[in-house]
Amino acid sequence: MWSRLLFLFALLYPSVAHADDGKFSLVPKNGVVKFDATCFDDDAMAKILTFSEFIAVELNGACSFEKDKMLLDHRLEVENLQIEKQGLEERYLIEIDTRDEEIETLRDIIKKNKKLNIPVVIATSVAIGFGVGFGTYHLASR
Amino acid sequence: MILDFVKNHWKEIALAILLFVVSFFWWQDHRGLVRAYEASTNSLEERIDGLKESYEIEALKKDEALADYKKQVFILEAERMDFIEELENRKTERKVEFVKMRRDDPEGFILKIETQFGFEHVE
Repeated sequence: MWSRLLFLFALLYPSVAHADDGKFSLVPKNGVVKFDATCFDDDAMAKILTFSEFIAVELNGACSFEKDKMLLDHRLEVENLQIEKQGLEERYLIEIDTRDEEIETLRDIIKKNKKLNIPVVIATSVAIGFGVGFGTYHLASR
Repeated sequence: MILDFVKNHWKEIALAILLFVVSFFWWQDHRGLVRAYEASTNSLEERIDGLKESYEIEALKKDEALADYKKQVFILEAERMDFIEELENRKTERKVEFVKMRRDDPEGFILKIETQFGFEHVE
């Protein structure tokens, strides 16, 4: 019987009493508080209230600063990459242009030396030599 | 006299002419090779100069970008310092207001604590 009554009491006891968010009291100098408490003076309480009021603003400011700084970092990184890309393109063009010029010059040289064929040169020289020799010999013999 | 000389030494003369012609063509060939070498060297030098210039320009641009970045970071940090200073001033002012409120308007102070933290006020 008593145990059932105790159970019912436990069920019906207001839950608010257990989920207490805290109590406070404005205590005058030398005053007594009705409950166990941690006492702050006016300055400390004002500081706590100010802190709780400004914490969001402060953190928002910090967040915004970090975000802006990261943005600047990334912008610098992107800018550097763009500069490198531009440089690579320039260097690629330089390579291509100078090689083209070199190839063109070499082509000209080859074109000029196209007729030069060593066996033909030797054969022609031998033929000319013999021709001139025989010619002079015949001229001299007359 | 000359004809006699030619008649007697026609083989030597033919050999000399042959050597001259071969030498001439070889010289021409050599000249072509030298020209090709010079063309390659010039091209390489031109390329090196171009690449050097390109790298220098790139380094300059990067330096400019870095200087700009540092300037912007400096401005950002200065703004942040200003913000912190202003916030500290506001906090100090607000603290003074709360201390004054505690003395002049206890009811308002109680209400403030209740709304700020959800604490229960005990008389």
